[in-house]
Amino acid sequence: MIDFVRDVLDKQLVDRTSRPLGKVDGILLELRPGAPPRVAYLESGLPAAAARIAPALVRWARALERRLGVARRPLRIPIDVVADVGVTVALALDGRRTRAFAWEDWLRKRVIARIPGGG
Amino acid sequence: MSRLLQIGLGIVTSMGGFVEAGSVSTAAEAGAAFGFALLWAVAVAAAMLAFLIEMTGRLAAVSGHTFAGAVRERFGLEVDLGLIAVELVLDTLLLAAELGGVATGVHLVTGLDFRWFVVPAAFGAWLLLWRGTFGMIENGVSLLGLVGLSFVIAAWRLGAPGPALARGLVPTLPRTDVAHYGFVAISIMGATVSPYLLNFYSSGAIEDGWDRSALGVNRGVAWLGTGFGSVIAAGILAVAAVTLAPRGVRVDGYDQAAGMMVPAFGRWGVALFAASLGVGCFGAALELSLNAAYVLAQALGWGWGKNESPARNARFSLTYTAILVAAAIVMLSGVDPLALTLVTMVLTVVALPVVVLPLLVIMNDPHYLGRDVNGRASNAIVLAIVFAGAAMAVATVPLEILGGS
Repeated sequence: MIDFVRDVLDKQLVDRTSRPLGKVDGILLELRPGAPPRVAYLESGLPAAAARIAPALVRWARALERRLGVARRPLRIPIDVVADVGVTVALALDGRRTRAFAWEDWLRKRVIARIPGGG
Repeated sequence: MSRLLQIGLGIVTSMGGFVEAGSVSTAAEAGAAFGFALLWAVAVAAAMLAFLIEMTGRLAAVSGHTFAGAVRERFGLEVDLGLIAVELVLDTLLLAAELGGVATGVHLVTGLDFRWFVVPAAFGAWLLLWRGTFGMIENGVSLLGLVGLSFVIAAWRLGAPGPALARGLVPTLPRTDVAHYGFVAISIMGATVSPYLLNFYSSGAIEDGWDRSALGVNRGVAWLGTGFGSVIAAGILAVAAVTLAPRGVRVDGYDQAAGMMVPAFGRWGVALFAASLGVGCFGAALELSLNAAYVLAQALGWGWGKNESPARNARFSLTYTAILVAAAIVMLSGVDPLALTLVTMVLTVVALPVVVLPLLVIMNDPHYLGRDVNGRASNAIVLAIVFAGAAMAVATVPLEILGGS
């Protein structure tokens, strides 16, 4: 048994190699006709975090990410790749194959690479 | 042996508390205005800082969480954003004051306008963060910080009287100037117990790889490190009490304070004061910029750590870069470094309950600490000091502003 709000929401997400992927910013339930709802996805990233604060911020966050070409869709993690819930929420996947590093990569290429000694 | 070297984390943290712009100027003003009478405030602030950093170190060692990481998880994004905002504003103002302190140190030696040195100070701090490792910063600042012991040597050379020092450790009310006395006492606490030190220490504990076996080390490092810083602060206060108080000098600028080492060391006096101030403020500037990056990274789940190249943690590295730029702009906008320092210290005392209450909730949660949750005594002591401090700040600050200057 896991208390989702206490033990999963706002926890650190890490991938198979313990690389940090952000926090669990949201939890999505799937409503199914004729069956009880089930937890389908964990959400992470700027638009998901913005949704917790104000709906207007979500549009702004999406527009910003799209305009800069950072990410086109929010990061959604199917619940069945969650491998372990402890100090962190560990996922059975390779973080580099997700959109978790969209901002990190964008800033590295556009900003850090231009500062001497940054590479 | 390597465990003994961990004392560096305690020393660098306590220098950020006691040997920086705010603490040097308030300890000097305390000694100049009230002799040894405010030594107790240094002792109370030291105990408070030791209690609080021991807690965040214990949290890191037992749960693997830094303070900022635990706040995000325990209280959620919504509450955490408020705390982050408070912390980042205080960090930026304090960082500006520390850059001003470093620049003032250079000004005291060269005689040139301090504004010339604000950007070089910020750039120097940035370069060290960009290229250095955590251990390098921790141990380098601790070693350089030994220059601060010159205040203690000066107090001893000038023959600060033992009985008067001992009497100063007992809180008393002066017959006149009560409001200013309360204000200076509060400023000492605000200058010492800066919220950023709590998260900085717990992040350092994680950077140094502490686990449950480090609990004993944590206690020793927290109390010994804080002891080191508070002895220097007491030295500053004592030297000011012996050299400035009899001449009726009030410290409302660094230039008056700088003269206090002259009777003990002659023409080297000003240089030693300038070096102690400069090194202390530089160390605090490094800690403040790093901490801004720690707080954001840990609250938002980015990769962080000072032992990897900037390209490995782009967001982390850009955060400390950005806050250094912001602070340099604040300092160059024309504010007086000492005035900014005073305002920030008062803001700190008022903001302290907002930071300490969540810490106490976490420290009493067995979900994080298991059997190592806080004892009742430390809860009670920390709560009493925090609220007494905030109440005193609310009571004395308006009086100081109305009756001061």
